[in-house]
Amino acid sequence: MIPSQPEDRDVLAGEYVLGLLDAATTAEVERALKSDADFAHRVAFWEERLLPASAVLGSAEVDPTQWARIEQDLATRRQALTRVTAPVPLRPRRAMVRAAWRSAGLWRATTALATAAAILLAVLPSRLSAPAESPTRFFAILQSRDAAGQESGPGWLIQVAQNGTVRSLPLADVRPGSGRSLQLWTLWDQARGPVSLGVLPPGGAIRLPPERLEAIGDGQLFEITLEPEAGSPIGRPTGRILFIGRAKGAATQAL
Amino acid sequence: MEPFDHASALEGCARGDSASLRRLYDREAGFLLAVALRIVRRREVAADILHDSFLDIWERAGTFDGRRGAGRAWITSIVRYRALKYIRAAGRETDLEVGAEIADDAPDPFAALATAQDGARLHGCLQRLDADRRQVILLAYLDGLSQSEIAERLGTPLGTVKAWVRRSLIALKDCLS
Repeated sequence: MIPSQPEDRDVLAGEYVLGLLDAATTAEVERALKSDADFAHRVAFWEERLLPASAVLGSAEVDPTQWARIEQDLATRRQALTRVTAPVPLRPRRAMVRAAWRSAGLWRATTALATAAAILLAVLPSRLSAPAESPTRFFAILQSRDAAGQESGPGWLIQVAQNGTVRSLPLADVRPGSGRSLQLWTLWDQARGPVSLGVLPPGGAIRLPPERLEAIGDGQLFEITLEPEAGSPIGRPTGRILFIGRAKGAATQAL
Repeated sequence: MEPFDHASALEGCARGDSASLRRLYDREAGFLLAVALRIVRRREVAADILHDSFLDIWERAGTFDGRRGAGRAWITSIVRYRALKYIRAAGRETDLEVGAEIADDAPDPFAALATAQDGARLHGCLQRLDADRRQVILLAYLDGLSQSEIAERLGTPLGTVKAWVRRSLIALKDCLS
């Protein structure tokens, strides 16, 4: 129980910051930090006011290879895929990625989005330059995701034509920033992990080879991540997920 | 030390700018390693904590609420909580490993605070506490000792230590606000 009296709340927050709580109470405090802004504020107070006591510690000598290891891990590790809370429990990183791809929450969200997609497609046809030569085979509404892994509604529309042309339409204001780009990925195979469909050119389209197109199925996951300008150097996502959602087979008529 | 804008570096991380993370690392890795080392006492464990903490910082930068001056406290907390979790789960080693000792002639944290940057206020407020109560706060904050470890270290009953913690926190809150 997180107490309600301000003084008790300050004491509990202080004991948490000092590291004096048992594991169960620590876990309870960490849950409360997510939802109780006042309590989070009291914790931050102690974190900030006690910090000067660290001055005595000076600086330890860091192994010169340490940064390279961090950088390597950043390259192979995806941005936090589930809602992140302080502090993050250690989880096997690969499992985290898989968990996100299989997340029930994501399924629910994207299932609900099928309706949103239908509405959007009714509203937005004028904004989508329809592939005159080829009807739509799939579309996917991708949810915007912030750095904390929170989703904030439809942010990107992906349209896959019968002939393999992939078009994409931003529904949210996105600026990758200089030296960065947006890269589109899909999951063909759970074991293999996300596969790049290419860096999204501004307002342009990507052409999928037929064999890849054949591999797209209903419910297939697509995501857009923030990557270096030339795309991920390692063939796997390195930056955080900006948009994520599942493919939905289109009705037979062309857009 | 030159001033450093931790908040803007964290905002850079949130935008996916790895150069911002590198700037934070160059600036604070040594300090953060010292924070972890003081708690876990083992160099290789502290290095792992530093590693994981920088991945955390990168991933969670978007959740940082950029109030000025709080950025350094935020990254330090990430390291401290990781180190504390480790030490509570692993149990503390009584034999300190070679090369990961706290020297007997290590500076007194309270004395160091008097001259530390931004330390005057905390120093003044800790000064108002009795010496042993002050030590309880610093042993917990810096060394990551649990209340029973502090009781053992000071030869004081656990109940007394708990009461000291509570009263000290109430007095400090009042003084630091």
